[in-house]
Amino acid sequence: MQNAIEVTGLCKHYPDFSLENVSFTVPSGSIVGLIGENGAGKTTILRAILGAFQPDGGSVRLLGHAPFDAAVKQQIGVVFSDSFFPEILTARHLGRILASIQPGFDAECWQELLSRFSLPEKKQIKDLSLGMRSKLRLAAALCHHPSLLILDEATSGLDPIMRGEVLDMLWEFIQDEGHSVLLSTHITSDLEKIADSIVFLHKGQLLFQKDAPELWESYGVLRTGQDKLDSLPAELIAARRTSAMGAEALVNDRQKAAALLSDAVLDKASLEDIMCFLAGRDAE
Amino acid sequence: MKGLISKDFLLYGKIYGKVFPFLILLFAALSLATPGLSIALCWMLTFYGLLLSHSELGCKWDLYTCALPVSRRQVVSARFLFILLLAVLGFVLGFAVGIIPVLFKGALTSELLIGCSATFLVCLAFCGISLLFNYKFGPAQARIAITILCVSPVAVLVLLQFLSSSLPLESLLFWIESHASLLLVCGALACPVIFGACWLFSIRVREKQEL
Repeated sequence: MQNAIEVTGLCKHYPDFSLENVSFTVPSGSIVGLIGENGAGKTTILRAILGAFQPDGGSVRLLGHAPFDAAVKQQIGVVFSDSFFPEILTARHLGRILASIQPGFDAECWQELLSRFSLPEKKQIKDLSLGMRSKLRLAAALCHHPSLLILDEATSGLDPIMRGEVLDMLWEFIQDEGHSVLLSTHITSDLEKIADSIVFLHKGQLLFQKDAPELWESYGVLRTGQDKLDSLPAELIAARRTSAMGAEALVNDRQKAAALLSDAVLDKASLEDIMCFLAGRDAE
Repeated sequence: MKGLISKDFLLYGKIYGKVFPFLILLFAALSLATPGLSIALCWMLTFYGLLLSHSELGCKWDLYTCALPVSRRQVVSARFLFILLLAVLGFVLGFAVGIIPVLFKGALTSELLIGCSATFLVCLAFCGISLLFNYKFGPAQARIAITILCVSPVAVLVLLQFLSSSLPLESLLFWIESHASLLLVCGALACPVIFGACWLFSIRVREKQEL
């Protein structure tokens, strides 16, 4: 099955920021998490995928088509972090607008989603809470039965219960092997629950795209003395930092590190740990 | 594109729907005292539509359209068509409201028709230029550019008045008066051409822009 999204050698230059040679894929039937610190370039990549600008180099394929192809957009649903809907509208008005613009709009599905998310039909968007606006954006992205979902901080501002519901919804969505999700988020715990692979962006460069099981199994946080850390092979240490309590290192092969330093404290690395170590190593 | 225009009318009705019936009644009443005042309805209807377009550009609706199955050409064209339809509606309303004093007071229908037509055409040209500036420079700078564009001819005339001792201002004004019909016809033909040209340039500008 073709990849839902293919980004190859993507480059984009701004006066104070550059995306350099970013390449990754979103395989069909998978959930890919896109992580990175603020200003890493995540939203720039998503805008490139949607055809908001012409990149300076590289290419993007969206469901096998160029991103500027309007027809392919019928098959995608997008949730931005900001709401671009005029705030004077209500959910009912939004449904009417989407029905007239999206050829595949399903009125029944729209009503079901409003009901599932407990969204009032006649309340203006400006009177909705942050979480309800997020849910409305998600409903707008799902109402035309897309095969690809692109979410930019879709769960930000939602309470843990609602975040869980959204993740359940994404899980249901992905049960169809033809469906794919690209989820950009700062809430790494959400990705640990559902992502099949992780793309890590740092200062406009791709650090890695790895399968999630491989990440959880191989990376670990090692806490020990400085001298013991120095004794480890350099290729085993992905990043290190020193604190008042001793030295810590992110190792990329937990089993090997455990074998070499059996008395050291070695924990499984969470995605947040991996981010903090790899993004923070520049400061050292 | 039909969906985009429907969206604009839905928003327009939501924001201004309660005001316009009152405005129509007001202008109908004022037209009884001053026949021909109803032509301002065409201007108001179109101008409010322009304000709506400016505010949408400001809140990045066009970025959201990247996620919709519409091309940038369609988004721009829908906006221009919306303005055109509002101008036509304004013309019809202005004429319909203005016909009341004509029937009561026997004023000339032709004067009303010319007034409505002139307002319609000037609205088209103004809105076309305004939308193009909006796309090219953004809402804030477009407002400044439009203000300068509108004020400049007046400023030039005032300046000429101060310098009239050495410049042939009187002969220029005489020439304008003697060729008024020709200038009016040229102006009438130029306005839709300006609107159409702004439409095409706006598409070109928008297709190359980063959203």
